[in-house]
Amino acid sequence: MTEVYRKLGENEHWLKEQCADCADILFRPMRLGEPAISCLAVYLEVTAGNMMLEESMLGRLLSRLKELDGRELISFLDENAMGISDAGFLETLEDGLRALLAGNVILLVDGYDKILKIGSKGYPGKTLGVAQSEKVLRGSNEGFTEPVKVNTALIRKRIRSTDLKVRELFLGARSDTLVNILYMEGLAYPDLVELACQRISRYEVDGILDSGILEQLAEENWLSPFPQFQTTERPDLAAMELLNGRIVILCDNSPVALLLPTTLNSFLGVSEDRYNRFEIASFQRMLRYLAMCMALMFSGIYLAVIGFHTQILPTNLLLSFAEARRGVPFPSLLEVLLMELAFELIREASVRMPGPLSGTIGIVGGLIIGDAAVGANLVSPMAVVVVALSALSSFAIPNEELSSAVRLLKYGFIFLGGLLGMFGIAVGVYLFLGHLAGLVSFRIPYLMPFVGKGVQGYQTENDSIWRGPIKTLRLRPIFARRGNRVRLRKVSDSSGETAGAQNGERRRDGVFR
Amino acid sequence: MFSDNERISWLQMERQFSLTYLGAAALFLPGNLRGRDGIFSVLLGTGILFVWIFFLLRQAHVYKCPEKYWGKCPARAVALIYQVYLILTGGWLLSGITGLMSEYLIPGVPRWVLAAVLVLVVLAGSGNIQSRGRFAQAAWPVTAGLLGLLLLLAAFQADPALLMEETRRSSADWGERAVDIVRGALSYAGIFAGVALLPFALVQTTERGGHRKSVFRTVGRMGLWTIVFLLLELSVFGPMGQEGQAFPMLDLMAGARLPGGFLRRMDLIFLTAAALSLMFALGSILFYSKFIFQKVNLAAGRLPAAVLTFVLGTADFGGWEIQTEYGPLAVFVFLPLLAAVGVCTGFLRRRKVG
Repeated sequence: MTEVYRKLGENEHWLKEQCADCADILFRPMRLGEPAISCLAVYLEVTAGNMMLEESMLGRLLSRLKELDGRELISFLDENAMGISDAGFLETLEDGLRALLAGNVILLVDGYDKILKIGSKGYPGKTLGVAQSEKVLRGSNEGFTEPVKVNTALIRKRIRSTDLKVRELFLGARSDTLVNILYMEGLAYPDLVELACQRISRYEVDGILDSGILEQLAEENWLSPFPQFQTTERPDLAAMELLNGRIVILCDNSPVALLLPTTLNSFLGVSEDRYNRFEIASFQRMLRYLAMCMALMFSGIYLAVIGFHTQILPTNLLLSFAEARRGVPFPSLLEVLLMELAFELIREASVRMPGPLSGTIGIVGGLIIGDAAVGANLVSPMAVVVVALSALSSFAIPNEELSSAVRLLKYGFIFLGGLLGMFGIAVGVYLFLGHLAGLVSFRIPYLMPFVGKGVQGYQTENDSIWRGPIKTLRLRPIFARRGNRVRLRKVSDSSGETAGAQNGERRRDGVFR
Repeated sequence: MFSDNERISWLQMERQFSLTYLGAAALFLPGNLRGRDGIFSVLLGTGILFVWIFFLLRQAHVYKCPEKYWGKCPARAVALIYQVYLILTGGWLLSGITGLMSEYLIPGVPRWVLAAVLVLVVLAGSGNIQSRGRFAQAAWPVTAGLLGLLLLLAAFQADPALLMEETRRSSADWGERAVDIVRGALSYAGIFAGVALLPFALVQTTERGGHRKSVFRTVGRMGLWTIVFLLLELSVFGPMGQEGQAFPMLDLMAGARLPGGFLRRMDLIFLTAAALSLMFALGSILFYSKFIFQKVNLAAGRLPAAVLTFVLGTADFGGWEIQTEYGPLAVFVFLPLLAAVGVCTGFLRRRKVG
């Protein structure tokens, strides 16, 4: 590390050497104070506000410095500069360079061995938006944006406690991306926080351009199609999971937060599960589990039944199946495969097409091509119904990563059901369940809470397929530290009288820490 | 935390045993376990298993490090006995499953192909003890729930008059009946002789005490399931109707109907659910074949056991078929042999080791 020189020229030389051929980095020499002292402001072209305008914080600071007595400039900075929002002193030139590349203005003063880092406009980024992929009917619609600092603030806005800790890591040998690791002290297991830090920094990689790269690098079982981190665009969900003892990883330039540890159950929950009444929330959860099973197996079971076990169907249904398939030249396995592939194509096309066109693709693909294919006897109407139901089910899975894994594994079930009938389906279920049973995300089994009963330290959460009434959700999930699981307790009876100690005391007694 | 140690909870162990035996109890009960006498046989057999388990539980510590108590060579000899038993059981199970599948689910596919698929799937799916424990804990409620629901649907076919008919027929010849009941009990214990492996499972469970009742509960539960199967068969087919039926539960299920008659053949769904349990049982066999050899420091792997199981389950050695020979072998060879190992271990369990 190179300490900041007292002579401005040496600092300027060092910085210019590092920033050679970087046309977007501007060096702006200036003389401040009376008698004047040489200063140098270095910044990236678009990240600094207008230095001459009084509206900008930077402009106001420079104007003030200009009016000062030059001999008092350094002592003024020493005493007052930290009062400026988002300003700081840096002692090494490397830190100064890092601050510059992070979008700050750095100010060097002749005879002063520190760099003043001043936050200004910063890099351009999208403004706060709605969470596109996790829409809810009830609850906040605010979504994460791209700068990591803003995303951290969005969570801090919801959890106004100093127990919310934020660790900063810089990852990516060339991108030097800022990664924030957020956790609640006292709720998250400290060794889990260490493990998370260790996992995400165990590879040296050129650049971390999105949280997806971090996710794949830190995965334990990289061959599994199942996501081992939960992703979210919603600050309210991230805040809720922090309160559940989980860890949130935010990556600069990514509007997607990573949540860990994760379980299959957490992928099938949405934030509004907590906001809705328990009957509705439970019904919706059950629907989502059913949707997952249908998306996975429905096409395979259809093939098994019509290929091997037609005797299972009542005669009327069997006849209508046979009638529907009359004249179709392809075997049913090929027919279903073709339809499934066509659906995947439509889906992929509609995702890649610009907004207004994606709806058109859905209509063209789903209605016109489907209708034409049935009319031309290429596929049977029954196959279209089966594939459409299977597709609809996959859309009902709230998490896109899990939905993709299920859609991929569906092809396995199609082959197994089409070639080995119900025996194939049993084989598929055995392999599927065997794989899930072996998966672990940051030491938490993937099938929690279904495999939690009887395990030491496990307490019933009442929040899996069935979500109990909110008053019964007294305990935090398995992710939270043992001995700190209580999240809800009654403080007063129906007459409003407080039970036990004063509210303030109760907050400090460790139960709610 | 929750997946750090190579141990499972007592509940997971309980469900492993239950899931392992549920399919076999539903489909592969010996022919002499029929009717009311069969129910008495199951009760007696469960009693025998309880006594056996009582002694096995007291010997669990010996199986943590068998070589220390038995000595190196005797420990390896005992491990070999267990290994032979496991491979024979695996072959019998494989032969039974492929026979069932080729007859009921996918006729036309050669049995050896089905056997190969099964062995490969089971090899791929039987991981470490923890994943097996979690598998069983997650799969048991679904499998048992589905089978229980199907049994409930099948119960609508029951005719109580057939139970009375059994009573009239059974009133004569008490001596002959007692011998039949004892034979049936031994057959039942022979099917469940795998409980001899219990101490090997116990060394992998959490050391928290006070949960030994879960072992008794498992065997009791299996007895209860078997009795329900037998009662249903009796009340639907009557005492004579069960004679000569290879898989009476499947025939029973074939007659079950959903309200509204949406699905006609419940036996196929029953068989699919039972197949999951049978595959898990086969996976347990391959898992413990490796685990037992590891315990006596012998080179171990699941592949040799899988190959031998495949060979035994598919080959016909000059008319010798595992499907017909396994029953007598289990009752007259392995049941006494494994019990003798238990007795010897009982003598050795107080031995002081360094």
